[in-house]
Amino acid sequence: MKKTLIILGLISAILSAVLSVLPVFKLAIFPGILALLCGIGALILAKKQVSSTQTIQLIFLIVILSFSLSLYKTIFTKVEVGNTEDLEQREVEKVEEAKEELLNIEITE
Amino acid sequence: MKHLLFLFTLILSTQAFSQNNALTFGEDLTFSASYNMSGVLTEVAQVKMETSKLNTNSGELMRLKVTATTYSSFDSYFKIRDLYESYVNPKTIKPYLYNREIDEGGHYKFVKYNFDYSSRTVKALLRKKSKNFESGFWDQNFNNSFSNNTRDIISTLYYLRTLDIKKAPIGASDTFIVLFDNKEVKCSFKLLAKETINTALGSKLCYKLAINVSGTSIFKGNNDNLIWLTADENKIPVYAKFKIAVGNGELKIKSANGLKN
Repeated sequence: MKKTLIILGLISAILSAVLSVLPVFKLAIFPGILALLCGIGALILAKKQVSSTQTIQLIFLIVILSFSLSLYKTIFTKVEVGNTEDLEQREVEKVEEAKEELLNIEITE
Repeated sequence: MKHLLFLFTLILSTQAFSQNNALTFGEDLTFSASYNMSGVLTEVAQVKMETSKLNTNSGELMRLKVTATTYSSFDSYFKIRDLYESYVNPKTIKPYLYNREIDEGGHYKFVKYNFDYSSRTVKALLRKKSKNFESGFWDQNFNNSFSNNTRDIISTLYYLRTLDIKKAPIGASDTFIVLFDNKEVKCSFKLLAKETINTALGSKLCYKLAINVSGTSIFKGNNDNLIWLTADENKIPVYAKFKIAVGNGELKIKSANGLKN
């Protein structure tokens, strides 16, 4: 049981860490919470069995790091539009084409 | 005599209906689009709605331009650079030319409609990328007839703003014919409520409208696509919730400049 919880917790913690570096960093919270729950469960079992808690500590460490990174990005990352040169060029072309096509139309009410 | 009076009233009301008191040249609205990922809203793109003037030999047209651009952090995963534009009569918002050029994650499509009101036909061009042609594009041309009130999707959105919504009772709805993907679809707007919402422009009293589109798979659900227009003369969209085939999300206004009123 303890082993299962540690494996699941470790996988979830790594997934949380991976998500936290991606643009969808807000999603890191879900595997992060799962990793924490698994870590707490494994910690309780480890204390009962008086066994090593090093891997469990690693789970907590990864989760804390991913949550910190996600929180930092949530607060400080400003969304901005990337390179739109191509789009602007297309816009100019479309306007020029439109000018030619619409120059002699009859505007009706 | 009764009939004449009725006809006169009808003409007057139609004239009042077609007055544009909401739109002007140089209007610039910026929105942020968020996509719902497992219940978490993530800002993915910027949507801009702009109006400008285009002079022709017989008068001036209003260019309605809508662009959608993904934020730089998403560009490496799914880059969107969409351009929609409609050239309309500034008074009646009737379209003369519509362009839709989408570039979504490498998927390119260009659609152009030329509305000819004298023959009631629309000349449509559909262009897709294709390796089978020397030019790299596969062009398809169509000629379709259209009904009197047919508009493209962009001019319909703007036309909605010119309607006298304040006189409409809660529950009232209006249906428009929209030419989309070379098909005429019915797009209905239903006034659900009048409510105050908090926006980047401050607290605004708004008309809450439900959008339902029949005969297409653009929007999903019944009354799941909602738009909030400010309950003033400008009737600018400040908030929208959408449910489409690939998920759901929302659109929030960030800034509004050059408003008419």
